[in-house]
Amino acid sequence: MIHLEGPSSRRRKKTSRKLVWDKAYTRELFRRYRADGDEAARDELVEMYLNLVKYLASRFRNRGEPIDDLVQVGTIGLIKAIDRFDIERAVEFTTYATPTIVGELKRYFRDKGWAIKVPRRLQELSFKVNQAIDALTQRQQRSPTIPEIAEYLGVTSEDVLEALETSEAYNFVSLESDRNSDGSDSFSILEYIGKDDQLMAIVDDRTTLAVALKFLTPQEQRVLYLRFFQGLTQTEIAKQLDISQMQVSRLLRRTLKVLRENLVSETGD
Amino acid sequence: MNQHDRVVLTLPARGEFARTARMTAAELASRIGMSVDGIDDVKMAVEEAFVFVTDRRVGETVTFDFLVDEGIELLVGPMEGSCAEQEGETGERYARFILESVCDEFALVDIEGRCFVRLVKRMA
Repeated sequence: MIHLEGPSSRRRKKTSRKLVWDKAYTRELFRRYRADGDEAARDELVEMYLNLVKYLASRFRNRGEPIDDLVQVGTIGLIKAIDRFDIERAVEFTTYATPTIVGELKRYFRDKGWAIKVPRRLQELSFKVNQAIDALTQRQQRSPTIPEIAEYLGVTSEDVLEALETSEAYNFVSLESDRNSDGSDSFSILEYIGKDDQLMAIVDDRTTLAVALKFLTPQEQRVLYLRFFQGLTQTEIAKQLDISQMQVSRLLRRTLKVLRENLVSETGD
Repeated sequence: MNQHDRVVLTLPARGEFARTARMTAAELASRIGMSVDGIDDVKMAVEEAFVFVTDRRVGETVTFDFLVDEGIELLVGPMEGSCAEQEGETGERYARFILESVCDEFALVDIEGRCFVRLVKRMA
């Protein structure tokens, strides 16, 4: 039922590959799935359009992610498209599914990779600065200065400052991650509210804070707790959670943004 | 830098200029030899102060007045009304909570009838 229709000549093969599916059979499968709840028909649709996923995933293959992972992500988009497609609509399924699959792939990169377009030179420098901070912190047993990082990498202080700022655009840490470095499962700062009375006195509207905290992942709550309630430095938090100082920095920034937005919306200030 | 160098930066009170404020603050903090941790605290403080003042600003700009020596003293403002009017509301309590954590000093100060955020970050 699937035809990956390749042109016969070698020259044309290089420039054009057209994907063609049996439209009538596609509609029949959708009818069976919709009308009869036929799960086998749904599975067959997934199987049938997997080549579309592979084709679309291949367009993202130069972004440093394994193609198999991209196909998996794209398949999620395909399944969503199958479940949402209305056979009464006067559009081909491929026309409907393509933006859904591409959207899923783009979301994957947005969540995993650079949130905004950053020049490659700065991306690379940002990684190096991150590594340099870890190495120098380890060696000196304190947070390094910008000139120390610059000297270590053989770049200027301005380059380091720019790379540090640029690194804000990258999500090294999964925002969904709630596992701690010791492998235990989750953390909730809500459990601590009420225990640290002296520290918490400064924000006395606990109900409001508690509501805002629910918008944070366990990992974000932990970082927030360690930084603002325990008074640990970013380097100390990084060591405790076994992540880099830059990751702590990024988590804190996002955490404060979420808190700020939700505190304001809760209070109507 | 010389003792007590003063750097004044006036920015449109719009979110996209927070980066400009952060970068300036980072550069000044770096010049006096602050560590990466200290610089990140300064950047965080500047951003929080920027957001806090922007929500209460007078006019369409926010001014950052840096005094740099062996640390950074910063005035951010001006804000509408007196400081007494700002104190105690949720936004102020939140800003105080964050800014007192990342800075050595935080206060709202009245200057010529306007309220400013005053922050001090010393070398560790």
